Amino acid sequence: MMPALPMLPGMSTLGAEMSRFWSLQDGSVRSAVTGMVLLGICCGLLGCFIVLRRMSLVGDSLGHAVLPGLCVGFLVTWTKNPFWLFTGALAAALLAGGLIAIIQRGCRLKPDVAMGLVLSGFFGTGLVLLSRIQSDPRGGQGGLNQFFFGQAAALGDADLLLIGFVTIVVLGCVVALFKEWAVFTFDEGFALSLGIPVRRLHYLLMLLTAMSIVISIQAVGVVLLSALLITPAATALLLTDRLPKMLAIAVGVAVAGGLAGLNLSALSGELLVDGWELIRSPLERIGVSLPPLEVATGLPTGPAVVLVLSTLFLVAWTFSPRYGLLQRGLRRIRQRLTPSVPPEGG
Amino acid sequence: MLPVNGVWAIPGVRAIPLAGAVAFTGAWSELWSAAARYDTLCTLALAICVALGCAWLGCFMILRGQALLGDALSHTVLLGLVVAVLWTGSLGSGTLLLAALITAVVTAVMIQVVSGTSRVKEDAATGIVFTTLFALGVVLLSTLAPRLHLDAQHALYGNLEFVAVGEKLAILGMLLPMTLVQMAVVCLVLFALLCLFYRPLLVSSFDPQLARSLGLPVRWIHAGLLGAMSATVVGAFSSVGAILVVGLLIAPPATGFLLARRLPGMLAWASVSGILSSIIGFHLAYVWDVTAAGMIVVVACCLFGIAFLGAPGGGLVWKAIRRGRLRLQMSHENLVRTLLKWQVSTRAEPHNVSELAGELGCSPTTLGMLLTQLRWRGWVTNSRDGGLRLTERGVEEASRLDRAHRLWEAYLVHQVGLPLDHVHPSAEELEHLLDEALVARVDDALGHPETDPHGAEIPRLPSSPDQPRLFAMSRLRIGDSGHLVGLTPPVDLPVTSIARENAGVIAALQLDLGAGLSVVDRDIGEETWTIRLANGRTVVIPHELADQLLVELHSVPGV
Repeated sequence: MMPALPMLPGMSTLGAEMSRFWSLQDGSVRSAVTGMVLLGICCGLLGCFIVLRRMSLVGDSLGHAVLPGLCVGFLVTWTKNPFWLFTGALAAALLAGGLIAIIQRGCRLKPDVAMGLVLSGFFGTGLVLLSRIQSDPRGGQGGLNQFFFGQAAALGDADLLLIGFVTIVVLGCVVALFKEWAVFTFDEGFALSLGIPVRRLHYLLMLLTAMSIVISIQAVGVVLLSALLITPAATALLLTDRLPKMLAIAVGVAVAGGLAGLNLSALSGELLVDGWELIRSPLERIGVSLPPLEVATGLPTGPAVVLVLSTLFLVAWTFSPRYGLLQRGLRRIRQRLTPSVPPEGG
Repeated sequence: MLPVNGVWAIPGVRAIPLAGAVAFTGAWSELWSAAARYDTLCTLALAICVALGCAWLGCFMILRGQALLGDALSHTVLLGLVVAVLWTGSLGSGTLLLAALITAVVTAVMIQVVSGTSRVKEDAATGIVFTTLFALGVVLLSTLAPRLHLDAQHALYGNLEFVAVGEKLAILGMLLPMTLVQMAVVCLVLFALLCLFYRPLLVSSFDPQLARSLGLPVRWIHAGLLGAMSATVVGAFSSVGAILVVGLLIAPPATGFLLARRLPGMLAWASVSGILSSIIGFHLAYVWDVTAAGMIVVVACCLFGIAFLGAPGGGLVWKAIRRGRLRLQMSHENLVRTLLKWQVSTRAEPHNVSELAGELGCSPTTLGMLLTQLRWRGWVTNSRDGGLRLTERGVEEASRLDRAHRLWEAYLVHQVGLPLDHVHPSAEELEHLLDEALVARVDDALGHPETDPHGAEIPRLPSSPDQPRLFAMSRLRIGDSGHLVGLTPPVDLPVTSIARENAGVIAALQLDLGAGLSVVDRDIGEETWTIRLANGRTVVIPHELADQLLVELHSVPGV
């Protein structure tokens, strides 16, 4: 017999909602979970190469750059046809990648400026198209807005097929070319001397990144997409020194973070209000007054996933056995305590 | 010719209606009608203020390599705003500014801390920090949305169109929108600060090491810029949104960077580009009924594109044109050289273009086109029996190139010390790229050699193209005969004292004008010319003097 815990308000509903979510009986929950797992695998793997090659900002700029592509894809049929959305977004991402390369090669501007230019130019174009679409009665209900911050619950079968396809391609590329990727990532000069087609690998990485960005839009949204690529890989980087392990950890973190974020965003509004009350009321008693929550709908998926991922990163950053803040602090204290003068006769 | 009622009226010609012009001038007259003029002016003024502030700050950010810090800041400021509003329950501008400053500093510090205390590099750290803070802002916003007059999408692309509707403030008898007044103040303060701290900003942006060694507070300058940026961002945020801020922080300064070589020029061009994109973007947005903020950014990026393609000197188009011209010039020059070689070796004129093409290894079509261009330039004509013949100018051009090629080969062998079989490809390039004056100096430095290292004769140039028989004595070769006609000032050594000294030497050598002479010997190593005068006397002339003695040859030397 469990001892009876004092039941806090909202706990029972939380339990009920959690179990309903994890029973996977709801079709949309099922497809959202499947999509998230696949996205976690895909983005976790690619993110490692991106972070190690210091291309983190590419993810951000390509993520923003897909917006006009989505709008054009939408304009083809005036519906959210996954095929056209995917095609448009991929085309926009590739165009953005190409433009970044052209600007970098064509003048003395630094790469971050080139990326910032493409990011804001494309996103601006996207906003222009979007405002045009939304002022049209046919486009008003299109629901393109959810592409900003993502809505995993709206993942359809066609979306899932696309996600699955891209994930298989990414997985295939990483497994089949693992050695090449590894050498190329850590030592480009050495890779060149081995006869590995470095330039082609770079373009392949860009293409795969663009594809995985495009499939992540529906789930996490364009604005915060880069976090799904960067944060799990950065977390893994803090925990291990080996590339295979890093890939595995990044995938694990991405999948776990994605699912937890999904669960968070699937919780209903009332539950959030209750949860907030749990924090608020004790604080109010000691004199800190926080405003009450007034929320009707749940959280958007993107920010929820990002927050969970960032929490995981924070944990790794603090507690990592080799590179954590705690470990660093302990090491420093130990160093200070050890006598700096060598023992006599030694 | 003025647009009248949206139709371009050209006197005497039927009025040509242009759909775009109609829409545009329609929108123009609507926007600037008496009723709407105030709103239009206020909105435009705000857009221009934002553009100017962003352009100035962006210039320094780009030069300091922190372009994406602006991106990060403009996202994370949302969190500061939401927290501030939650805390105080109001949208007062003082609180918002303070909150934005705090968030900006927190963002910058967090990026530094994460990248400084872990193996995660700065780019990834930036990505992590800004997504986290922005996500937090969005979550807070979406859970508290009903209570706040802010929403996440609005924060992304702003609400420029409704600026004039907002809260008003009376200044100097004019009723101005609150946001405009705020932004104008930010802009003025920014301008004053820029003027005041121009030197330290300049030094610390271009050379932080130097700035530190001069004792400038580099860290404080950085902090100050960060503060100015967050003030601009927060001033711009509610009206134009985060993305416009990022766009305006990067695109106009990047345009300025391409168009100017110095900081004041860059600042000026960035301002011009910012103002232009505000005005054009605003009007286009009205015509097409789209978001003004987005349109302004698009126009700013288009202006960058124009600068990128067409900037004089550095633009892609100019570079391509220059490269294409050079390549064309090179193929023209190579072709006349080949034709000359063909004429000399076969003593016949080529008739068959395809045969020639086979010899040259290019397609007959290409060759035909090149030959047409050469005829056009007057280097090649058709001979009477239909063959190709070099004109006098063509021959001149070809021998000029032969001369350059052989001189460069001689230079590379004798002065640079390259082995004989390595010099041809380099000389092949040098002959096209470097100019006549340099070739003349190479000739001089080598002591005016007669042959190149392969033994081929190096063609020589008369001292003026109009008089093919006039040569400096240093250009003469063994066996040449002529008579002395005068002194020529050294072409590339404008030292009159040498000429005066040499006048004495000439007198000492008892050379008379009009004296007949012939060259009997040359010493390349000693750089002397031994000549026999008509009276049988032999004189040794040093190089320096030989350069200045002008001789008219008795016969025109063959090429």
